Amino acid sequence: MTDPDEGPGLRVIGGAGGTRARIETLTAAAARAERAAEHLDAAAAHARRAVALVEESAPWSPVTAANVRSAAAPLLSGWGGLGARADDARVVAVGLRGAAEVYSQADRDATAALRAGFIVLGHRIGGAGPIAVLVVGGLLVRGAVTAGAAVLAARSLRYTPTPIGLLLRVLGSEPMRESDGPAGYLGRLLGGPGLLPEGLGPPPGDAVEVALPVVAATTIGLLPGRVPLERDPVDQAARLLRGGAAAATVLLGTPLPGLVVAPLVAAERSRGLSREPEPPRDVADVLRQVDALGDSGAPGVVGVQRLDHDDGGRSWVVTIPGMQSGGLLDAPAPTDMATNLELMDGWSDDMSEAVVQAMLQSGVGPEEPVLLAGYSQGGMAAMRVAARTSDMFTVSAVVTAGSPVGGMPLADGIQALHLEHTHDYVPALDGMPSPDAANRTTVIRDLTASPPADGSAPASSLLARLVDPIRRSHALSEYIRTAEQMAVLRDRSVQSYAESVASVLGDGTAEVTQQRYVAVRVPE
Amino acid sequence: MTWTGAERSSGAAVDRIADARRELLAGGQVDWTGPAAAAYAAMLRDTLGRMTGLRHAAEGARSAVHRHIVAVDAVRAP
Repeated sequence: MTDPDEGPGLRVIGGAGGTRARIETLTAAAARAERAAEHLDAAAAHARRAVALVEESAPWSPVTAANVRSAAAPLLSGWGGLGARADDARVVAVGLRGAAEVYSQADRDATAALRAGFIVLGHRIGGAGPIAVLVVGGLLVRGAVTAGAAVLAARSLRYTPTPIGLLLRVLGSEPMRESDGPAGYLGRLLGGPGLLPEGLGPPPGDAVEVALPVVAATTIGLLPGRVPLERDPVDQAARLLRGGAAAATVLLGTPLPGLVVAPLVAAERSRGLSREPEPPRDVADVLRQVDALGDSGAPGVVGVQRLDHDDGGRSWVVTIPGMQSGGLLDAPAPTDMATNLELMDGWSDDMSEAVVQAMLQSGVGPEEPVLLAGYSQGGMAAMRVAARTSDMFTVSAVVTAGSPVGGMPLADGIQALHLEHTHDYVPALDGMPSPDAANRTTVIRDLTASPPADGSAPASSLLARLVDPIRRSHALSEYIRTAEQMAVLRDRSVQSYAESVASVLGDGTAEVTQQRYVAVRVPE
Repeated sequence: MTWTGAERSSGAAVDRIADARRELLAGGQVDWTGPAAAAYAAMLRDTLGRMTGLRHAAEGARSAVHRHIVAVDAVRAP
């Protein structure tokens, strides 16, 4: 469920206030109404039995028996008695299930079917060969250029004293621009000052999310030997690419099948407000710790913080960095492209393994609550660890920033927050929309609604307007800012997630013991 | 004596009405968003209101049953 008025360019999807949660709540309410109906039916049966038994003894005391009949009459009345109220409860239950179904239908929406259709179409075009791909690509480019030229021509014609100019001015008038639906879109396309439409900028990540599976399906279709399409073409493409990269590593590089995880620095202790390292208080603080992992001077560093609370409780914060090497061949640090591909496809990957080993070496207990936080690739690793270690650790919450985790599974008992930016294409790389689950809250921020976090001037030229949001959108500093802005939102999903995080972090007075671990791939 | 079962049954009726009321109250803790859900929320509140009257009636019936059994016992006593 989204609400554009939630904050400065912030949108919230899913979580405790999301559509899925509402569906679950309505379904639960319907189940309760059904149970209430059963109780009322049982009450009616008991009342009937009581009256019948009294009738058997009525000859001994006719007056009190008549009093019982009179007192029980409202209960057994067909119009307003227990049976009628049971029927009311059943009607409420049926209605609530119907309302949940309406939500559910809206939730499924038509875009999923459309997406599947485009994927199959893309695979067929790819299967038809490179010439078919070039022809379709050419037609798409030509269509886009023609549409752009038509918009420019229409916006120019607005200024002419002709009936067409008048019509275009009406279509681009302010009331039209402010209306919803296609009329509003047309109004915004034609209205406003200048030759270019207002709000013109790079395509949002949503567009990449839709296009990427189609591109992946087309690429798979292009492969020799007619490779059949699987359920998720992006995962399938990642697997094929990872297989190719592994083969290339054998031929061109040095395979590094082993993994060593070792403490990087000596443990530091502190307590309260003034000493380093300070205990994290919220999501923004945790993401600052992810950012600080870069200060270690080595790639592949995982941070583990132990929080000892005043009440004797102990909890943990585990921080995981983003990708640090983009090469396809295996690199010594597991924060590389190979790990990305493995995480996308669901293979076992070295970074998740490194995180688990770091947690075990730190002594994370099976009952002690853990918060996992990761940026970009680190967010994917956090999700993978949370999903696969339920028998080893108690992961209470996960934070991901700029991570493509829409299709990654997570157990119901774990609360997750996914931070994304409208023009950050990295979270869209899995080609999956943000899940609307009761335990998964996605906060999406449009960076064009606020000045850059690094203090630089807002973009003014058209080129800067196109490039600037993309340049800023995957920066961790902007994600930290998003977390700060999110913290003041009065959104039910966000507040519910904040409570989960607070159950791990405590009130900010915990004694902190911080340890970092470095993970290195080695030849066996 | 079979009619003492009447007292148990009348007591059970009161208990089951209380159970039903508890379920409906718990179900009412929903964020009633959307016109359909809000309409059923109003119906649920109405059902709950009517059940208050039924609960009083059930308690009255239980008392009446108790008085009847006491009276019958008194008449039948040797």
